[in-house]
Amino acid sequence: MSFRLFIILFAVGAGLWACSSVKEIYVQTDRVPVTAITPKDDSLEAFIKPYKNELSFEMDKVIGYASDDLVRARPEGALGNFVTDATLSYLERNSIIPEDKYICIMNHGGLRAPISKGNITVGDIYKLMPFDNTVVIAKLPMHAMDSICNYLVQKGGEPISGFKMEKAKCSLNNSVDLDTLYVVTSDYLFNGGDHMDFFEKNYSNVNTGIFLRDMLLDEVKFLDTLTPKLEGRIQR
Amino acid sequence: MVLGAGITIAPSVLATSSVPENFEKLTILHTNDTHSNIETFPADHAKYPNQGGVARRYSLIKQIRSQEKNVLLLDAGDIFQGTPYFNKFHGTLEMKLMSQMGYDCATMGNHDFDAGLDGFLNAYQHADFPFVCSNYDFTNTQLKDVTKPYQIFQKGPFKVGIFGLGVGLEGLVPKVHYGDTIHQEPIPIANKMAKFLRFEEDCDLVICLSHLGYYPKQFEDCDTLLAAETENIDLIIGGHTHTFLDRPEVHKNKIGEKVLINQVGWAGLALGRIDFYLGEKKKHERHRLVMV
Repeated sequence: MSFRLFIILFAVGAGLWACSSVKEIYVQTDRVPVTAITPKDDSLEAFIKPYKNELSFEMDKVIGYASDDLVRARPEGALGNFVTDATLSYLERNSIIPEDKYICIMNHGGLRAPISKGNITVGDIYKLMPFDNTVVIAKLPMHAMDSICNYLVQKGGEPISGFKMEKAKCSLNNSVDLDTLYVVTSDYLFNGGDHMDFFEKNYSNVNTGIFLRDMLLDEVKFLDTLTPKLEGRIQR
Repeated sequence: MVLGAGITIAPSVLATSSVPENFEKLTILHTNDTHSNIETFPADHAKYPNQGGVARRYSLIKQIRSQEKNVLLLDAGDIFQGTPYFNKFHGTLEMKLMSQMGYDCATMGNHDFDAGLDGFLNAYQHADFPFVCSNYDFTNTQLKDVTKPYQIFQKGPFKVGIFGLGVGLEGLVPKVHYGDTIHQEPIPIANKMAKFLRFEEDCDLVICLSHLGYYPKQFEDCDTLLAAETENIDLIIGGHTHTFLDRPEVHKNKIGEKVLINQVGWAGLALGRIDFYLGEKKKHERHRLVMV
C-alpha cells in the first residue's frame, strides 16, 4: 500500500479499516536479573582471565587507608571535600600554586565511586576518577563569584574547597586579591562541561597536564590515612 | 484519535489476550550503560554484591539462544568507561567480549567518545557487529562510514529495522574527544528513519536504540518525548539515565499507537527481554502491539 492509498483508506473509514485489517503483534516482556545464582560461562571467564591478572597486578596495590566511608553528597560530601582539598594540597605541596591563594571547584557527577572504609587500592582511585581529566589553573574576575554562587544554589551544591557558601552568599577562606579569583578545576569543567558557564574561555588559564587521578593517587600515598571531613562548606 | 476509536470496537481484540498458536516468536535481548563492568561486582559491594558480570550474562544469553529460534542481542550505548579495564585496555576488551557474546547491534553513548574518535576506531577493530548512529554526522571525522545510519536484520519471518539516536555532545563530552562530529536533532531524524524502515524497507518491527535518556537530563529530548512525537517505532531501547524499568512501559505515539520504552539500569545488572509474536505476514500493513 502506498502512502497515498493509506491516506485515502484512512479518510474513507478509519474505524472500519482498523478493525478489518490491522495486523496484531503480541508482546511479552521480562527482565532477567544477572544474580549470584546465575552460573558463569567458563569459556568467557577463561578469556577474561589474562586481562584480569594483568589489571590486578596494578590495581590491587594498597596505597592508603580510610578510617570511614567517604561518599559523595549534596550540598556537601566527604568525598568531594577530599578531592577538592587534595587537589589544592597537591598543587601547593609541589609548588605549582602558592599556599592559601586558590579555591577549587569540581563536580559531584564526576566522582564516580565512593572510597570505602579500610584499605585504599590504586583501583579504588581509578573507580573514583576514571576519566583522564587534567587539572586547570585559572584566574577569574572577582564578579564571577556571584555566578559561582548561583550555580551552587541551582545545583544544590558541588565539591568545593577554599571558600564557603552560607544562605546563597559565598565567602573566601583567604581573601588575597580584590579583583581576581584564583581557581583550580578540571579541564572538563573549564571547557564547558556541566555548563559551569562562569568559566569563560578567554580567562587566563593554564592546563597543568596533570591527570586529576594521578594527583589523587599521590595524595592518598602522602596522607596515608583519610578521615572523612564535613564542615558545613555549603549551607542552604 | 479516530484510529484509536476503531481499535476499541474490534471484537477479536477484546476476546483474546493470549498468543495464537501459529504465531512466530522473536526474542529481543538488550543491555545499556554496561560501563566496562566486565567482572561480577564483589561480594562486599554495598549495593549489588555478586551481581552482574559478562560471564554470568553470557550464560543467560546462551541459555535463551538454546531455547529460542529468533534472537537479537542489542545495546543502547555507554559501553566504555567506569572500571579500570577501560583505562588499561581502552575499550578493546569490551568490544571483544560483546563480539564473543554475539551482540547483533549497538549505538554509541556519550562515554563511547571517551577514548576520542581514534580510540573508538581502534577499539571497534575488535568488534564484529555494527554500530547504528542516525543523528551523529561523522562525515568530517575518522568515523565516516564506520557507523551506520540503520541496520536491517532478517530473523525467521521477521524483518527488523534498527536505528540509533545519540545525546547532544556539547557540555557533556570534551570537544577534543568528539572533534568534528555534528549532533543533529534526534526527533525529526527518528521520524524519517522509522518511516523509511517501515514503508520503504517493509520492516515488520522498527527498533530505536536511544542514548537520549528516559527523562530529560542535560537536554530536553528524551525517550518519553521521543515516543510521543514520533510514529512507526515499535520499541525504544533506552540508556543514559541508568533507569531500571521493571517492565517495558507502553506509551502512545504521535498518532495514538502503542510504542514500548525499556531500559535496564546499568552495569549489566539485568538483561532486558521482549518477545514479539507475529502471525501471517502481509506486506505494507499497519500493525499494532497487543500486550500479553
